[in-house]
Amino acid sequence: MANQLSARNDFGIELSDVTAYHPAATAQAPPAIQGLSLSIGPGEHVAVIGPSGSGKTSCLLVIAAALKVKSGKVFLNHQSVWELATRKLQELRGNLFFAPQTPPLPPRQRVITALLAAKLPRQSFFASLMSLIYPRDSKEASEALAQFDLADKLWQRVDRLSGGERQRVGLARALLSPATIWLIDEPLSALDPTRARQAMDSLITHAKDHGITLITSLHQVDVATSKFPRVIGLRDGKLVFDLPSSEVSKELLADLYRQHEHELYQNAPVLPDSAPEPAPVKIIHCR
Amino acid sequence: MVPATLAQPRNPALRDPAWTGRLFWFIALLILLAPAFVATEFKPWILLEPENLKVSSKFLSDFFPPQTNPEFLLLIAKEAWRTIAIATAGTFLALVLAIPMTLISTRVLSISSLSGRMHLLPFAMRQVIRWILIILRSVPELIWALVFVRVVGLGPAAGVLAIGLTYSGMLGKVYTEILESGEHHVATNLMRNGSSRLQAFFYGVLPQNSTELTSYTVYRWECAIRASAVLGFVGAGGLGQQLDNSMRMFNGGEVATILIVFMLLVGLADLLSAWLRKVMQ
Repeated sequence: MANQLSARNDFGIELSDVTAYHPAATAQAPPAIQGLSLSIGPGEHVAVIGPSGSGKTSCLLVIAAALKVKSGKVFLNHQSVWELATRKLQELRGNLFFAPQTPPLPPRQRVITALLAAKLPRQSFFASLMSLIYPRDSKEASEALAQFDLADKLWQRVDRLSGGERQRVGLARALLSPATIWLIDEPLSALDPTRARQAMDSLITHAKDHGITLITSLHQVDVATSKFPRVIGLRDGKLVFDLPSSEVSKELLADLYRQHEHELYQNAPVLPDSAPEPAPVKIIHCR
Repeated sequence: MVPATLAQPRNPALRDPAWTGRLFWFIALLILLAPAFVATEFKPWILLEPENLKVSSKFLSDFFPPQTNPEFLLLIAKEAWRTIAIATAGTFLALVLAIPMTLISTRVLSISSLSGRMHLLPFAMRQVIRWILIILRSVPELIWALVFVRVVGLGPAAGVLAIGLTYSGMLGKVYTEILESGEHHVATNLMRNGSSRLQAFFYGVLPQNSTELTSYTVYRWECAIRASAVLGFVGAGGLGQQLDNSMRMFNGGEVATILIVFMLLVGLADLLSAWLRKVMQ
């Protein structure tokens, strides 16, 4: 069953010798990603680990066609991403779902609308307007929420949710998106260990059932090695290892996290249930 | 002697490196301000000279008591309604013109700038719209009204067109600024995941900025009520025209009544804005 479905996703990812800079970087700053070559097949599940500042997020952004590369090439579905016309590229982006660590949820929006926003890429403009007037697909949204134990929050406003709930809503959006590649940045940073396990399982199960390529960056090394068949270790924007998780040894991990040992040995989430919400920007216009 | 708060600490590591620049710009601003007061012959104390006090108190005392003749009040009520209608229709016209221009000119909704620099053609288009907005709002509504009174004749239609054109320039500019100074990450994320610009606008930008946009629009509506007073002087109808009539006849009582009605209308706009903000919060 899963194999039959996965045939639908033939979206391969290929990075060859990619170097990319952080968009806000100063001229002297080192590249966020340096000489990275990777190949990820359709339907693969990959965890990206590494100490803080190692380029995990940038790596996901490069694959998401969101961060332009300085040199090297990014191939998605055998097309060189940065040689495509804007329109073609935007079409291609509909196949990618990038979930940032800070869930992109407007505070005054309702959970249902925030979830349905994930369906936009394959929806006509008229249909998406109608859905704002009266939400379509509320059943699908409610089922996605139920996967993360949030079914009762369907009609709530986002600003009534806790930080952990927001993060789970952000993850539930993936289930609604038409994309065949999920790029999920630090999905567990605001969740307690039980919720984190549940959330990870929901994502992995859905991805498996639909043949979706799942790439996530993780701070939790134990989750990465236990739940993902393939683990990529990054440090200072460079590839340190790219191995089946069974071959990721303690020594390799110790080497990857040297000078960052506290990150390796802490099992608890990095930000236990703290809200990673952006501070609301209040600008007063007097004109 | 430098006051204690202005003195820099002796330890160079603790010195605010931005301090000299800040001090310089503060003093420069003061120096630049001085010519403005000279150029405008700003001498408020002449208001207090006995001769001038007599003139102004004579003028103001004419205002009392305000005219409360029922016939006049009915006329004013009708004209007040017309003023609200001019302001509302004018603001709506401005909205219709401003929204598409905002959507085109805001950088937040640029797909090409999602990754690096904006492309040349969209950039050029944004510049063109910016200039159209500048032209629309740099011509005062009074001038537009004088033009339209000649085209469509005396009456409120000229006022509506005048307000619509000038205010579309203002709304377009400020809407663009509100969108650009707000949080972008939701809209950016939607477009990165393949949504179109308009979808990102409705699902990402609008919910982030709706209160700001509404309160500015209601404030502009309030301004339009005031502007229609001025436009009445050139024959564009409404309370302004009555104000002009009463002023010409030196009828202070009537002027006072009309001014009170204006205050009530502005107060009403204020209440409406506060209520809307509360509802949308």
